[in-house]
Amino acid sequence: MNVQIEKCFKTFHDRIKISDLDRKEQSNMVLREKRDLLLEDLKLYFRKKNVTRKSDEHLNFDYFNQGSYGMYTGIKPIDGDFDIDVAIVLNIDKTDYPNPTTVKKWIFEALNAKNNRTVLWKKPCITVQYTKAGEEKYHVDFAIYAGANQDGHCYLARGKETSIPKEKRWEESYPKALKEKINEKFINDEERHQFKRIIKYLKRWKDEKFKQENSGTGKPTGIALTALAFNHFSPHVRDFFTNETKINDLTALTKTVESINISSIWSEINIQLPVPPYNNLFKDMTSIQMEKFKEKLSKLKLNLEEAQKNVDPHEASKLIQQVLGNDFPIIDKEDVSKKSPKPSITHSGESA
Amino acid sequence: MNVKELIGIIRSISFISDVKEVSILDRVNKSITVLISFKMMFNNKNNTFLIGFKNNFPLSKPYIYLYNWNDYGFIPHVDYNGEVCFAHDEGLFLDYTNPKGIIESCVKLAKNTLVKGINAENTTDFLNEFENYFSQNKHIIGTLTSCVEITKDVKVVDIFSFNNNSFIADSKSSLRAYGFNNITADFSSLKQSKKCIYVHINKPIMPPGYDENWTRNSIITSIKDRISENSLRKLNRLLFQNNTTTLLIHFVAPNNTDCLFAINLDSKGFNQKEKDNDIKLIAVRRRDLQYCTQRGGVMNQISNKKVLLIGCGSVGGFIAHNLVKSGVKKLTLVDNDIFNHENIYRHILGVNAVNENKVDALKELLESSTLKSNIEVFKDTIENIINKRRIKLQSFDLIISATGNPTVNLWLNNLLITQFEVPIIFTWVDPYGIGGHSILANNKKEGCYQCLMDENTNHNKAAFYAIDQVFHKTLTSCSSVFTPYGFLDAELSALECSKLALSSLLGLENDNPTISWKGDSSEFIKNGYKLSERFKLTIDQLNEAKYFYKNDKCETCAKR
Repeated sequence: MNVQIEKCFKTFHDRIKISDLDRKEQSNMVLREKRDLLLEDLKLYFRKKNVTRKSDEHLNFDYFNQGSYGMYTGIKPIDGDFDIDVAIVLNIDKTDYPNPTTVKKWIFEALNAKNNRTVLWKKPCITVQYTKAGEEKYHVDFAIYAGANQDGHCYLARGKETSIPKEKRWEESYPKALKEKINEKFINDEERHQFKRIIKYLKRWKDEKFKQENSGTGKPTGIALTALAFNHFSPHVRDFFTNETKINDLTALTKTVESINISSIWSEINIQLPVPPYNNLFKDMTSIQMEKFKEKLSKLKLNLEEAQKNVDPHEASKLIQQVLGNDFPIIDKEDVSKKSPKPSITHSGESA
Repeated sequence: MNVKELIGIIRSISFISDVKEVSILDRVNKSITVLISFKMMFNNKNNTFLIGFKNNFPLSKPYIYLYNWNDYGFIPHVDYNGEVCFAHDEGLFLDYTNPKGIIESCVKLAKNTLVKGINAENTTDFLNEFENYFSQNKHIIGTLTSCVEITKDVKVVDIFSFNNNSFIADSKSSLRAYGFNNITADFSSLKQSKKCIYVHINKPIMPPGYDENWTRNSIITSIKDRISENSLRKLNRLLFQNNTTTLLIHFVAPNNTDCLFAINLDSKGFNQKEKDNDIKLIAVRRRDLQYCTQRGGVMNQISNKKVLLIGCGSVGGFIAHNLVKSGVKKLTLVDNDIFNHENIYRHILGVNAVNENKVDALKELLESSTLKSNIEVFKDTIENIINKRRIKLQSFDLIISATGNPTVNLWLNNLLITQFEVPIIFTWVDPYGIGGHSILANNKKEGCYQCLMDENTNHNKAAFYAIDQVFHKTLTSCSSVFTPYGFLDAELSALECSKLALSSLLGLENDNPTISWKGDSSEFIKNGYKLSERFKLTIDQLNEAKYFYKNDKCETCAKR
């Protein structure tokens, strides 16, 4: 393993990662403030609504970041369209609201109160899109759940007002389960961190290689790549011989891609969410799209393997940049020749 | 147990009758203190047997005898004294709390052995243990001790007699190599008394019954049937040329053991005579190398391998000893050190080697502890010997560097890997008994001593001590510096290294492992030192990681 290449991966990761939204970091301030503003609007809406309700029928909600923000697997979008996923868990029983769009409409109404934002109905959520000139382009997805059901389960409100009745349904879903599953897969900190880095690398690779496409035309979703990594990643953070920590993201990524490549997903076109509802995350992919996906993945694998074999770190970094994009730095030729001098004399405890 | 108790137990066995004590016979084992006769149904008759007990019974098995040795004819596993050999003492466990069970089982085992003999199911045992049956023959006139090298031809060998013993050897010098010179003070003036012709026959021969003998004509026919025309002519010629009638005969038994016996034809030539006569039988006690090494569990396959051992310090000394005891005959030792008093408690050599060159003293020790060892020595540094071209590295099957000097090790590693195809083992100990390591390199695959050097720090990655520590202790002044470790640490390292060396020589290891043994760290820690993360690995984990040190971009082995 080349130390210089690992440094590149570190730089690459620093460039693409999105840090924790709730940490008081400057880079997150705008996003955090926007989200909090929307949450304030929601609270206000329900406060007003509760005035006409009996105290034991008051509506209220919990919220948390879900999706990549919640799992810390988020990356900066290349096109600048940031995306925040927020789960809104209402204290309602789904049986009281046979039509989930009734509930979704509350959220729509609550958010659609100001002019600087566009609120959209989407099947799994309500989206707030900001496109105002001068501001960073981003959107916030609100997924709405019924969280106080008699059966103890949690349900996602699906469908638009205009959807056919079949699409307006409560879908069993556990917004925190995936987050927990991903976070608990590796107890060892180094291993878990590497796991999340590998997810981010794969997502950035996807954004680079499917630039012109969207999810309808064969671009795999972030959650699909996360599920693939969940099944195929194995950590490379330790030198088995010396028992020392030795982070090797290049090998970890290469092995993950190799494992995906030889897996059964290509014949079955199926990768399940590892938690309920265990839906097929590739259900919208056609076999031709899958073929294209595999082709791109094979190219990724090939470049990574070539980079591993290449003794010249400059050339190796170039090969990786070809697949992971320009945020992956190239090692200067001069830096390669500038090998850190080894000590001429060292103490040894060897004797015979 | 006393006689009464024993008789009581035997009487309680259902298939046994007529139990009574008898007086000790001359023919039974000398340690037997109680002899009891009994009857049981055997071979359709109620037959008499004898059972003898040593005074430590039931800690040892009983002996079972036929009433007459030839009650059932000449059958395997019944000796001339009538003892039925039904089980070897070696590897036998007796439940001493159940003496009746022991007796019952032994009688049954003896019965089974006899049944097999009577039904001729185990006749090949006569061939497999030929020497045993032959040596009990009552016509045996004497015993020869042989250190003749087992070959498959016809040759002349010498018989020497001294101290009322007769020895048979390929030459006088081989008798010396076998250490028989120590037996007599007059060895130097000793001359061979007779010649004898060694002949290999290509099929086994049945031993004569204990009281039978071969006649001249019958044995000549048997031998003629078992040798080629050429060998027969040679045998004839050698018998005449050397004016002898004694033959040393060799064959390979069905179980692949070598069998040797000797005869005296009594009259000249190798032709049948009209007037046939009995011959003389001579037992042979084998002491040849093949026999001795097999007895020691030593592998004959490695006796032809050539090993170069660089460094004859604490670790090297034990390695040399281990290797020759394991059957390595051709060993070259390199060291330019003198053995000193301060070495005594860390070295296989002792007080009598003080002030001697380590290599000379070690050669002496090795040659006196094995047979026919061929030890070559160089009193110089390995770099001088190589640079002055005094040694041909490519002539060795294995090189071992036990210098404990990482600089020389790395130099050797790089030289070997870039220029020679000889496998090399580097071995060393870590300080204060925390462990030791051996790495095999240049053995068919990548992975070498250079790979163990950290690319940035040169720290040895196998080490059980953390980086950046100094361990040297001085004995008296700057001039004598040593890294603290003990006798057992050196021996343990040497043991692991020797095992690795043998598996390399035998072709059992086809890669380049780094083998480490872990010791006790309390002394190390008490002295304020820090262990490496590697020390935390279990023995199993260390073993699983033995190939994982390789650097696929190694400056030495990856660029080859």
